[in-house]
Amino acid sequence: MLAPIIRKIVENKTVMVERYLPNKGNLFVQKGDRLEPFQKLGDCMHSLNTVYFPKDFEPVKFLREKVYFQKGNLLGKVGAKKIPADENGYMSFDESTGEYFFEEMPVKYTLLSGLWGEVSDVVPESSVLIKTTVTEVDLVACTNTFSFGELVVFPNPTEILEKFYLESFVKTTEGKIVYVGHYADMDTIRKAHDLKISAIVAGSADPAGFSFAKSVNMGLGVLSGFGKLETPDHIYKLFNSVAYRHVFFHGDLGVLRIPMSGDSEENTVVKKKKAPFKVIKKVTKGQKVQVLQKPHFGKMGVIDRVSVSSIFVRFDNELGPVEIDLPNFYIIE
Amino acid sequence: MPVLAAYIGYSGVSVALEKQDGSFIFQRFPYSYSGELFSSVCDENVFYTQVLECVAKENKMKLADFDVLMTGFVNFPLPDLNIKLMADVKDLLSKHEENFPVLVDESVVMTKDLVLSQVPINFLTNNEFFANVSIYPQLITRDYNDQVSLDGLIVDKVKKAGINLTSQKPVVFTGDRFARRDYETVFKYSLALDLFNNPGYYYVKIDKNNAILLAQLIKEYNPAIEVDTSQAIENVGTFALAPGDTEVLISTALDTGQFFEIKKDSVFALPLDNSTSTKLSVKNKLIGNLEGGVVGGTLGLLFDTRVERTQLISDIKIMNAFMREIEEAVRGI
Repeated sequence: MLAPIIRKIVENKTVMVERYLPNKGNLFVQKGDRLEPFQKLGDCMHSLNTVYFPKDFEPVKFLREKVYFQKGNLLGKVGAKKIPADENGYMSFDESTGEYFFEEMPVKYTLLSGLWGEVSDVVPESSVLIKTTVTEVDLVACTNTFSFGELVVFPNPTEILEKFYLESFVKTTEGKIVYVGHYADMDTIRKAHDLKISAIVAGSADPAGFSFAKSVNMGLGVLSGFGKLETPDHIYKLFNSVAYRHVFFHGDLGVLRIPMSGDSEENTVVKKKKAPFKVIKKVTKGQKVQVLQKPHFGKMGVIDRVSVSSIFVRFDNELGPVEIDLPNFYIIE
Repeated sequence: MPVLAAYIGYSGVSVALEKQDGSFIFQRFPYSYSGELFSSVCDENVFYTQVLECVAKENKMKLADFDVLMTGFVNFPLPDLNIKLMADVKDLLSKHEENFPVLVDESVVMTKDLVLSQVPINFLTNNEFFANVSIYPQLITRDYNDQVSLDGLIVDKVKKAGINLTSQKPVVFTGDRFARRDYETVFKYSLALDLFNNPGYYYVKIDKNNAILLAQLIKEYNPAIEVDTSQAIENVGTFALAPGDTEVLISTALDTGQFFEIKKDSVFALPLDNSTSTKLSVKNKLIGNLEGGVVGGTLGLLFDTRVERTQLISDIKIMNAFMREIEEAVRGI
């Protein structure tokens, strides 16, 4: 009996990562420089929030140039509703769209490296291309977005706890990538969107919630599939070990990239495994498999014995082996 | 050089492999490439090359010793495979003359004249199992409801398109839906029955390993090669669709005949093998009097007197009776 091998985690992959400034500014690194995650790459002046007003917005005065408003001052009206300035900032008119917009007072934005690596190229005043080593976690389904940010890892909680954790992180999750646990239901996904979380990762998700995330262009990646499925243990352990690290959610590639240090223990383990990937293997006793058959869908187990058209798998919490039909499993490496 | 012909389907790879004595064996690798699972490790080229190498190795041969022929739903080219002939699935179906082939898999229904491939988006978002099938295309289910919705999608597709399968030739159902191993064999028969709409007699075969396509592909490559597909193609029997109360008289050269009535809204199987032709007379209000010779098969002669042609397996009462009928019919031969 033959079966494919899936690698949920691909380690020691060399990739190029582009880090860029939101506006033109100053860059402090040169080609060939070695980088550490907290190293400053550059800075620029950047307005954190820009709000576009609807067409029926009436400004307090007709203006075509940037005008400064202090926090609380009246900007204008939409119908009878008065619109004050939320922060100090400038209101302008966008000739191309014919809309007024308000941008917060620009502040100094500092671009950090966020990863270990070597500067491969520099676009003056704009961006830095970095050659780095990452561990890739395979997302079996994900929305087609790209985002990056600090990885926040929740415990594998129950549904009630999930919301509690999201509420607790209300002020700190914006722009971050959050692992929300075994299952992301519709409420959790909506809540994450409201909190401006840039991407969430979960063991599994509600298919309707997945469609919602797609429609609002929010990052959502699942590790096992759809329905209430568990996150494989070894992935959860990896997430825990790299919590609060700057990670990259590549929806287009279906992976979550976790930067790894070039010289730590993280890499030495992996360097031994640089042989070309084998994707098909003979099924034998003792192999680790992911099962795709109810009620064990998504769980990992070890093959106890192999029969003609099925295998018997032993799970951690089960008394005896369970029969799983070919082809409802994959070999895991 | 011996020939190895492969069909890359939605959920697996079917292979016809020429042995040293010139005969062919049909084998199936019940997995296909899934971009969601393998794209970070390999592409279709690497995956299918390794699949065919492993299949050849299992038969104590080397892939390099074969002329490789290929058809199916795959992104050509596959440069690592030295393919001698690639052919379009629809062309192969069109060139097959002995039977009327109907290719069915989870996403496509295809005959010589039509291709139906639509999957409603709400089906994907509301059906967890189908959402998982889009990640793990090879999945087979032990859950009755999942099977109902999966086959229901195929039946709906044909009905909504207003397609009536009619042919004077035997109708052979091929494609991965019929090549796949079902938890209950009866599901294949019920799906085949549901795909007919018009009253009449149909001689039905089921291709258990895409042998129709593989044999046609080999014929295209070398018309002199004879491929015996009898091991892979099951002669199911004659399906008689006669809506409403029906009176039946059957007789063979060896007996005096047997008369019986079949109540409307039932499915009834009469054991009959395919070695002798049986004379059949049917009296039915809707289709009038029909007389002719029929041959049987695994199921023998199958009468379907349902007036409303809803999906058979979704009607538990009729389906239970049908399963019993089939068990008895198969045992009776």
